[in-house]
Amino acid sequence: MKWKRAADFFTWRGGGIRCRLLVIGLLLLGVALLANIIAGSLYTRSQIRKAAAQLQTEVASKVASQIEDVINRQKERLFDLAVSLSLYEFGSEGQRLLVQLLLKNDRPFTTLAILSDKGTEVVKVSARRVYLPSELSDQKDADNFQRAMRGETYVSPVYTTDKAEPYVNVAVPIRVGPSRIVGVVTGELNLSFLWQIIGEVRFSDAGHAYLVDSQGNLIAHQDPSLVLKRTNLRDHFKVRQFLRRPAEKDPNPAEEGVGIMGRRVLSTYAPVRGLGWAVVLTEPVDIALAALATMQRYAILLLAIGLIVGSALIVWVSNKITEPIRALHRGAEIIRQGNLDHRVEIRTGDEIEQLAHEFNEMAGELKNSYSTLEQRVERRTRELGALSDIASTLNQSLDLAPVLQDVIKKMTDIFHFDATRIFLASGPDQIELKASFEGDAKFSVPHGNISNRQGLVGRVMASGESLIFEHIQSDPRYHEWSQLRIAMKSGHSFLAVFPLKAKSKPIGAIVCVGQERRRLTSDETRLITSMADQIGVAVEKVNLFEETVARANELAALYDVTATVNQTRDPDVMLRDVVGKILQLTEFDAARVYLLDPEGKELRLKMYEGISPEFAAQTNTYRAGEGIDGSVVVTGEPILLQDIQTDPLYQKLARSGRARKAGFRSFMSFPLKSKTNTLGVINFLSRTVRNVLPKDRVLLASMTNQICVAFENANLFEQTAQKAKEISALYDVTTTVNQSLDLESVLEQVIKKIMDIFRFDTTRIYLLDSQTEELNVQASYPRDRKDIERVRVFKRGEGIIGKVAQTGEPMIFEDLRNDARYRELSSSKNTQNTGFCFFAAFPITAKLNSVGAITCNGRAPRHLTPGEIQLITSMAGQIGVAVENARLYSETKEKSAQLEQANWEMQEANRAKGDFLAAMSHELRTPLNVIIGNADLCRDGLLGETTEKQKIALEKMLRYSRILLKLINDVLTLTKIEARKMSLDSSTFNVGEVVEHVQTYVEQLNHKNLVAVSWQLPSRLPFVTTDALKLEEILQNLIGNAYKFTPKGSIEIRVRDLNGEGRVEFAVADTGIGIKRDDLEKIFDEFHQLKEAHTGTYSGVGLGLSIVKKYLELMGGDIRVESEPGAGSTFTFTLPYESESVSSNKAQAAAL
Amino acid sequence: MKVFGLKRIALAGTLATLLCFSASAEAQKVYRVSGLIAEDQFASAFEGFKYKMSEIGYREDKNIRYEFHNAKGDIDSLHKLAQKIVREKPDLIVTSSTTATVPVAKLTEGTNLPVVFLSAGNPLKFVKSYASSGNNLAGITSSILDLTEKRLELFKELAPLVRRLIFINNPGAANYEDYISSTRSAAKRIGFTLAEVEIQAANAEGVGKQLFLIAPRLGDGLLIPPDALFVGATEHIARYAIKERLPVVGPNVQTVRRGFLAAYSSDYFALGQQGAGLVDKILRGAKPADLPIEQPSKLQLVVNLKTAKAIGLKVPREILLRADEVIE
Repeated sequence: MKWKRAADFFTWRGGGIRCRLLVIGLLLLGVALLANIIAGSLYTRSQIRKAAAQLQTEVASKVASQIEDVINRQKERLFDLAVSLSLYEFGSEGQRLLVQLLLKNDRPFTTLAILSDKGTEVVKVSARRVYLPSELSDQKDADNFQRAMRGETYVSPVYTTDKAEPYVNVAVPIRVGPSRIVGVVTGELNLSFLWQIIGEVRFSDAGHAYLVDSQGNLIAHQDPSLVLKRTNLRDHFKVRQFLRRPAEKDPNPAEEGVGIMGRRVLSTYAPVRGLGWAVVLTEPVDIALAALATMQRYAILLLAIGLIVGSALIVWVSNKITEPIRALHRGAEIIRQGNLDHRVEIRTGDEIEQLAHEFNEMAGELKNSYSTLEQRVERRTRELGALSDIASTLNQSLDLAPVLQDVIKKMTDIFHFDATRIFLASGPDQIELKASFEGDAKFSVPHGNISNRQGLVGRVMASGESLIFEHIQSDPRYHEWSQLRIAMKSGHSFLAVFPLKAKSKPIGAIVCVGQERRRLTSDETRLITSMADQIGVAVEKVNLFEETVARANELAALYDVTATVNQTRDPDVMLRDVVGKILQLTEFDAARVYLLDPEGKELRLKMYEGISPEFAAQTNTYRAGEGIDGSVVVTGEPILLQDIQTDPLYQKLARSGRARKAGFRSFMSFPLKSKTNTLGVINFLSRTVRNVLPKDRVLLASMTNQICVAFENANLFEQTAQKAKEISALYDVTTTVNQSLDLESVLEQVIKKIMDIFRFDTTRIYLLDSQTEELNVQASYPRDRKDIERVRVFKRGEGIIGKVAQTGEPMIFEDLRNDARYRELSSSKNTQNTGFCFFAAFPITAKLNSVGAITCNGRAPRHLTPGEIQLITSMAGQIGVAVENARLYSETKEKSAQLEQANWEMQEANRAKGDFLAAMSHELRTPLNVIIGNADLCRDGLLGETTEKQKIALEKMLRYSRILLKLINDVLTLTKIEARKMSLDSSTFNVGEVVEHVQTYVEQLNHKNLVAVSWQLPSRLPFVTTDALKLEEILQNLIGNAYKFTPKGSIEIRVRDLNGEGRVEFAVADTGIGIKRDDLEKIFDEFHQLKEAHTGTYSGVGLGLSIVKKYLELMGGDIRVESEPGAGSTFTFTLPYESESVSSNKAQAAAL
Repeated sequence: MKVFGLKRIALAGTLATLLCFSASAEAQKVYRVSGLIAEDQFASAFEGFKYKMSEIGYREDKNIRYEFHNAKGDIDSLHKLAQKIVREKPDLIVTSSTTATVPVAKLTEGTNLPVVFLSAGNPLKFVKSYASSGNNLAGITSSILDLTEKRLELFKELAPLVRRLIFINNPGAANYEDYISSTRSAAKRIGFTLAEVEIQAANAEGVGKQLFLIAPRLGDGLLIPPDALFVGATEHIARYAIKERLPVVGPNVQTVRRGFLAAYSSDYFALGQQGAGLVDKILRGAKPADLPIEQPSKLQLVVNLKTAKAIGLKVPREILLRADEVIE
């Protein structure tokens, strides 16, 4: 891909030779310069790097040896001290003073100690700390002591104190004489004094020195904070190298690598001998090689200058080379602009001069060719001008004769003929001279039609090929083919005949003559042929135009007729207008329209135009199949007679020949056809002979069709209007029926509607009385017709009306005057007697039962269409609905009156019952209490001694009296509740209080211990606000029931505090006889008792549970029962903490 | 190689031009450095500071302007001056001691205003650690608390008969608690008993007056803590000591020159010089938090023989040999 682009570059088009030379030259120059600069840069870079590396190595070595010297000097100080110390007794004041003086004078030492040959510290002095005698320690195992005692000078690894400064411990032996070691002196050396030495190391602009120990920890640097932060330089590539080779003594060569800050650096290190430390030098590469960057900038500048100078040179050279070429180009440009006389002047003596010479020769040649071409073009232009002139003449007008005259005049002028003529075909075998032009009148030829089979023109038209005679006198073809030889006779020598063609068919010929002998060139022949073709096209165009005009006229006529048809809906008016229009358009003299009678047997004259009334009266009717019109209506095909005076067909069909006698020549009869059948016939008559072309026939047929359409439309409109009227009437009737329940007014309105639509003379409605089975007149119209009102009642099944009502089938007598059926069926013959001819009766039905009939009478006989019958039937149906509605309404009204009465009576009875029960209970209770009281007195012997039997009898009396009392009380209670006279006597009490009372009741009840009674009570019973007595009564009732229906077994009473719901739940469960599922729903009804209760085993009247339920309703409680026959029942009821009536009272109080 | 040499010359020329430009650009910047001096004794630290600064290249009124304020031992004015200095927003604040640094540190807390202390006895009161302050402060510790033992040792060597030291202290001093605790433990180690006397005075005169009120024979030597109040009252204390013939060891060498018997401490002038190095780094862009708290590079033993004579004390020969300065 890249190679392709390069190739494109060297072969590109555009830009010129000079540009190409310039680009290629610059490219070569640039590449050369760039290569030179790159090579130079690389070399210089290596030199600079070498110099910088060398410099670094030298500095590092120097600093390392400087540090070595400084440390050695400190060691020497300690040696000197050791020598002085050997003069004093170990631990003496003298030794202490010497040590203190060294501390004072040599600041890097911070602590000094003297150790005896046993390793015990005898003196220890610090510039900052006080060492008490008790703090002197034994150091015999310490490295420094051991090594010093062996006669070595010991320097410890670097360590830091709490203030973070780096220290080393130096130890030297104290000798007496050359070989005896009596002790050791150690000194703690603060290495911060090295910071200054390292800090002063500066090289280049950003080079720094680092002093690191054998662990890579920083000992000294120009920034002491790095040291105090205990920086480790292990990440530095040179430090890593140093740590890998700690024993190396020589400086390491400088190299590029990544520094601790991630920047590229040039770095080296030099080991500090004897200490295991190293001086590391580092310098950012960009700064170390800054000179190189400058040099590269110079190189780029040089490159730019080189390119500028080079391009100037290349421009000069390329100008020199391309100047002759450009001169050649300029010359070519001048020649291209049309100056063919221009010559290029180049005197270079090389190939370019030769090229210029050839170019000049070429320009000469071109000039010659150009002048020849010009002549030809001029001639051709002339010809084309002539042709265009002819064409435009032909297109100027659609009036053929003057155009053709103009054209041949022009042709005669253009070709210098003496005369020119145009012949056109005028009939199947004839041609006609359409135009001629003669320069001189004597050359004129006779006019008139010529047979196209004759002579030269006929020959040319037959063959479609032109004929040219250069010299007719000597041309044997002329003598042979020409019949009239007019040209020769008139003294012409030249004759040419060209065919005129339209759509490749010959339609005429053009004849050109000349006095002199002449030869037509091929161009002339071609031009005349082209002109002849143009004339052919023009002739064809004129013909087409004429035809189009004729067709447009016809369509306009048809449109007129159609418009007339659509303008009016009255068939008579329409027919008159249309026929008038057709006569006007077709120029016929008269027209007649016959319509077929409904039976289709006879044609009747509907209208006529252009004939006398007498003639019309004579031709008023035709039978179908008779005469010309009768045949047309039967066959459905038109009959066209061009001349009835002579036409044998006319004579055959029209035996009377009235039209011929009336002086008509042409006779046309067209059938009037609708979609389905023939409606009639239309005649067109003319007093002159009319040749009817097929297209005229089609036009007349179209016009008659329009008449048919108009007839159909009128019919349809009439039908639709009638239908709409009927539907509207039915709708009105339906609405009336649905709006009113007043039967009489409904019937009045329906009758009125029927009269409106059907225009009967009378209409009556009879309705059936279901009890008497008689049909009575309910409504009639008009009202005061005494004649027909005579008979107002029919028995069902009697007479026509009775039959219709019975069978539910309508009966229609279109003309009863001679209808045997009517005479047979009618009982009264009333209709006939009152002078009516038409009679119809329709049944009125409701819910499929006949409920009456509707009758209609007319004076004239009448035919009812199926639609009309359907409409009257529908209306009768609506009357049925109205009758049914009215009946239902009256029934409902009656029923509700009855119910109202019954309800009132029931309420009265109920009230009386309540009053009676209340009074009775009250009246019964008083004497009963007297009975109980006295029986009690007797039993207790207060009224004298009683025997055991008497006592038993008294007991029974008492027991049953109490039961009776309870019954009476219950009745009274229920009565009160129902009369809403019962209210709650609420108080707040603990449920336990009520339970206690009930327990007492149960004890009394079960004093014989017939059943086991157990109580399940929570430890704390809640307080409730309700009617305590009623609650007690409820419980007593439920427990009493349980006791009653549990002959043996147990009863359990449970009380639960439903704290979450704010209610208390009571349950009374027994193992008694239980209740059947069917009875469960009824047990709370008044006076309901289980069947078992009626056996007499269980006493009671069935009011207890009813009272319980009523009480609970009052107290806002509810009750449910679960039971299984044979297994027992559980009645469970709940009560709210506060009864509803109480709550509502409180709420009212609060609201107040 | 020749080309390379030419390049180098061209490069050097360019660099020189650039340096000239940058130097002239820098000349336009005049740094404003404010100083807060708690008490006269620290004045020499500021002298050392200025001396070293001019050595480094900071010329007064040319590229640096100093505004030093001396509270002269007055605590109230010290606080007022601190507020004034911070309000003026100089480029850098130099403080003398712990007493002067504490209010400035508080006022500049959370700001970027660098503060360099020249001689803080107890720098841990306002910096996080010796390796890094962790805030806008940097400086040099005078190691004064570290040297308490050494001072008591010196006392013992000067006056071996002294057993009970009157240790006056100022409860309002910045380092009060630390002085007390370090002195008590050092006295116990070296074998002194302490008679601790609290002196609360507004100024030097007050200290003098109160000294004369205390029972003269509470002890046989007088130990003065490194507190600005007492240093300010050096002359008053020295007068009292001579009157009572009590050897007195001061907190720094300046107090010896003003009348105390002896002292062992760093030299404020040297500390000031050391501080100039730190200030230079900060002005060049270093952040104070990146600079470790430095130790004094030099400790001095100074003995005043005049005072010794006045109280009738014979100074041992060893002390004189070891002394960096003997005032006669």
